[in-house]
Amino acid sequence: MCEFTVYLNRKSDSDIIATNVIKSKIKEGHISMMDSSGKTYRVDNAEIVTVDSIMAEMHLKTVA
Amino acid sequence: MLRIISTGKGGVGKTTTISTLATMMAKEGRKVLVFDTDPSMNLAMTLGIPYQDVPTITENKEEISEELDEMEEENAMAVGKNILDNYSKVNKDGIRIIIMGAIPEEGNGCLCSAVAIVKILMNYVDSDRCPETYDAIFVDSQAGPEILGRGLAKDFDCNLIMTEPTPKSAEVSKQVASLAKRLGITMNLLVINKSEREEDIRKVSDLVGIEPENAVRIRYDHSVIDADWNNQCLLDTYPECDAIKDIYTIKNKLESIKG
Repeated sequence: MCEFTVYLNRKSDSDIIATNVIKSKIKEGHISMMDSSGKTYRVDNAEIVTVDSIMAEMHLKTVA
Repeated sequence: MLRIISTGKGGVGKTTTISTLATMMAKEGRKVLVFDTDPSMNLAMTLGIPYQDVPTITENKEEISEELDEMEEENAMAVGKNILDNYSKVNKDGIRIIIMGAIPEEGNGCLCSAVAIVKILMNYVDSDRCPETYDAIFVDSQAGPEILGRGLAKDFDCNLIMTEPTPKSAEVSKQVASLAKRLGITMNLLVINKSEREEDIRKVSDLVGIEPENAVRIRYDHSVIDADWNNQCLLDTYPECDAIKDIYTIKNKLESIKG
């Protein structure tokens, strides 16, 4: 399935911050995401580390 | 609102069964919405609408994606409304039809994005924002278990696991049944189509791993083939045939889910 599970500072599955994500973009300085139900997520002070379509995962990390 | 999906191997009768159930309910005055998520796109034609007349989601996905670009939940609702208003057709029985479509050109990816858009649309239809209240939503899926892996049928009321009374067909149904267990579907009903023997119920349900009381037969019936050859609606043309009687049994089971 090409819907992404999103991790912030991944160490374990408890770091999942969103699932079934279909769209993500940088909007007004933060990371904005939308899942397949139309629900949106906002992550401040973070950047995208990896987008992996094989694992359907996106990894973010906190920045100062 | 009843939400029903049909799954199983190719050619087992998913489209015929879904279209007949939808027509039965629509003729009783229920408001019915059907999604064709099979890239083969036979459902609209079976319901009397040439599929060329229905704009598909895949051929319009660029426009839909742009609509979501503002990344607001409001945009997702607007996309749902847009698809329902502009990418659907209503047939003579009042059934509203939406076609997901196929991959438009070679090397153009998979159908996951179109399924994601269908999920957004389902969410809109479930919301207070949708002006229509549907009594039943049917999803005709592509062959194989993959549609369940995409999570489209999560928390549906019924998964019609369609099969022929053959081991190869039953093997696909076994995979479907296994995936469906984790999706919170209320009823997984094994439908053994083109069945010529009563004992098919026991043999096939054993193979698939579903209790015989959750299995029904649709008897082999030449009327189904005749209606297809003549491009006729089975229910209109042969309302008393064995297949129709058996599909009424399925309809009664579906209606018993919500009392």
